[in-house]
Amino acid sequence: MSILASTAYHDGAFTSAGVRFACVDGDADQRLAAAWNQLRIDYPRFHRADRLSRLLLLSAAPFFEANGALAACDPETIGMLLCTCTGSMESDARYQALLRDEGVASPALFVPTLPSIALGELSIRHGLHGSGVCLMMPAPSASALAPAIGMLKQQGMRHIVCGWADTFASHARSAFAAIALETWADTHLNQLQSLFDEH
Amino acid sequence: MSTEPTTELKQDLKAQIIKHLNLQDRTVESIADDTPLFGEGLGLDSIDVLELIVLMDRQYGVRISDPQEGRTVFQNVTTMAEHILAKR
Repeated sequence: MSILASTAYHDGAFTSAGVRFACVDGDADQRLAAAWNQLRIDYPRFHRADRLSRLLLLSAAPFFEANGALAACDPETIGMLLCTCTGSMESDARYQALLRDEGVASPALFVPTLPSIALGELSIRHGLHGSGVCLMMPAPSASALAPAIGMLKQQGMRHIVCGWADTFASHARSAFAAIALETWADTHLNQLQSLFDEH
Repeated sequence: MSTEPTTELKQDLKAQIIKHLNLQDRTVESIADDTPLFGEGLGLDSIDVLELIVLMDRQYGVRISDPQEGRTVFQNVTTMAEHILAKR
């Protein structure tokens, strides 16, 4: 089986390994924090990261927990593939608002105005040294990811954290899979698309 | 003029650091005056230093442009407060 595990987050509801918990109170950041706190992971950096990074950290966390799908895999050969529509727009808006309102730039806010920073945060969190790809697309499309998956496989990646994350204003949504590339074939794209469609 | 930082200044600095660096797991009381800003202390990184430089400029009117000076200033809250008093 190529898709080893999956997770999904939709505006407060987080699903992992068939277990779903939901927090409907508060704004998008508070709901995301509540979902993270459910995992009982001590990682203060989570709360300091931009929202796209937090969404990715949350989505991938179960894959790396003890007995998680990727817990025993070589971090040198774990790649990352993120697709998103709004990308870093949440951080862009905050950065621009600060410039407009206070006339100053914030280095900490500037950094995540690139969506690929989320991959860096994931790398730092789990010590991943594999390749990463960040793609912008209007909606999650497994077939559109196929060339990138093939490229990561060619580069020697044996596993990937692969999925969709999107957040802006009150909206935050993700669907991620831990994928084993050794057995991956394009025929598995339907399963990945189903994951995207379900969430 | 005394260069001994007041408790009030150090408390204010801690609050500003928590606010600007979004240290949600920290309180003013949990940061000692000599807690290292990096490593095992607050665990700040190079981007955070840039944020601290902006903070010093905006909140206290103190500019830091020399990297060597930064190494001395950004050791802990006391060294930051001492620098503010010396440069004001």
